[in-house]
Amino acid sequence: MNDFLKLYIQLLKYDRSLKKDGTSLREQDRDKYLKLLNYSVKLSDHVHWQQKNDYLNIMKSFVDLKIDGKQFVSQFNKLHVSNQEAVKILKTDLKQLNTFEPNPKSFGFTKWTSEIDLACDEFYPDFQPQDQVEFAFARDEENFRTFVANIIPEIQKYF
Amino acid sequence: MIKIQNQQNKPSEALKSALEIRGGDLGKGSSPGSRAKADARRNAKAGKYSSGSTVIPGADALVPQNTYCHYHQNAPLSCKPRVKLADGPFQGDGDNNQPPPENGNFDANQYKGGSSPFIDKFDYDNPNHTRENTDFSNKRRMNHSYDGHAEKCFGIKENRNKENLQKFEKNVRDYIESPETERINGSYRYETPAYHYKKPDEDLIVTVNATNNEYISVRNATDFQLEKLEIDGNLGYDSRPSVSLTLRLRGPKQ
Repeated sequence: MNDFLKLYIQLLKYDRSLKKDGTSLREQDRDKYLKLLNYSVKLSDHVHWQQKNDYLNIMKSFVDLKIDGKQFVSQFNKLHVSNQEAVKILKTDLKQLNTFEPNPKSFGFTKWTSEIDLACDEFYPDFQPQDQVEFAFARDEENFRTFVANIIPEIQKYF
Repeated sequence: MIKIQNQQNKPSEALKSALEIRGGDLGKGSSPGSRAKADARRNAKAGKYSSGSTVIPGADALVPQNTYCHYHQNAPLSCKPRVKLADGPFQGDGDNNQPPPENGNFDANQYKGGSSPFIDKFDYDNPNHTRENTDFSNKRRMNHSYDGHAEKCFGIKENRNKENLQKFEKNVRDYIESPETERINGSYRYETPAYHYKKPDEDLIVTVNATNNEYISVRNATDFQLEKLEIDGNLGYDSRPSVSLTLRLRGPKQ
């Protein structure tokens, strides 16, 4: 078993035992809590990374104008949410974790998928330039497409 | 044609003022404004040469750009040798006054993280910005938020209508006002100070603009976002989109 995974399981068990006593790792030991959080990110990286082809295909379809912003959001969310569900289950399933082998190549992958996830939320299909004052963080379709296009090279690094 | 970059969402004040020097010179499609047109008409009658929006009495040829700038203290941004149009592609890594990107949109390759730039500079304890008076009055934002998150965050599957919107808002309010919910003072995309409301061990996050206490979003955060919130207090990095503004240097009419 991977070293970080051993540590993750140890910390997870420790956190669980603390919670039984009405406290938590976060309250008791912030450094260890941050480690636990970081390991969770790595697990998440691997799960999402396994679907990297799907992510890239959806992104390319959007950038190549094969699908519009709404379709992109719908397809991306579907993939992202299903991976998030898988992560949730994996993170607490000790049986699965015992046989899990995360690929170090995947580390950092969710930095980019998380950004797209946030940008999906900022995309207003009916956004007009005059809306900018009211919606400081909103994106129109062109803007959103460019944002996604800029992340494609980052995703490609994980292949 | 000279291309400069400007943030699409929020041009800096300095940039705004530079862009507004002459409505006819810049921005909004860079077509001549009424003042420039009036200048041109007047000067054509007077037999003076016009460089478009700039009239230089006595000039009898195309006015080179540097000369144009020389004559005008308030010349366009592109003319000012001391104005640095771009430094790094990202803004907001602790310095919110950095210029916008030079080459179009942000360069994801040069992303830098870091703690929220507002932590020591912004008063998060404004007594008017309580959890109870979080502003949900922006209907369009609420509609958008409902469509994207009502089901994922609160299991509200029904179509959006007035009643369901109220139900959604109540869910968000209850979450914010719950005694278990913690408030993280941080920022949103390094761009604005924000309150992030979160319960321990949950991934649900409600983000509120700390400058006006207006609701921004609710989401099931990813592990990456949760880690960043915990360490930096920031949600999302500064990827403010930018657009090219074209400065058209007009010469004599053909």
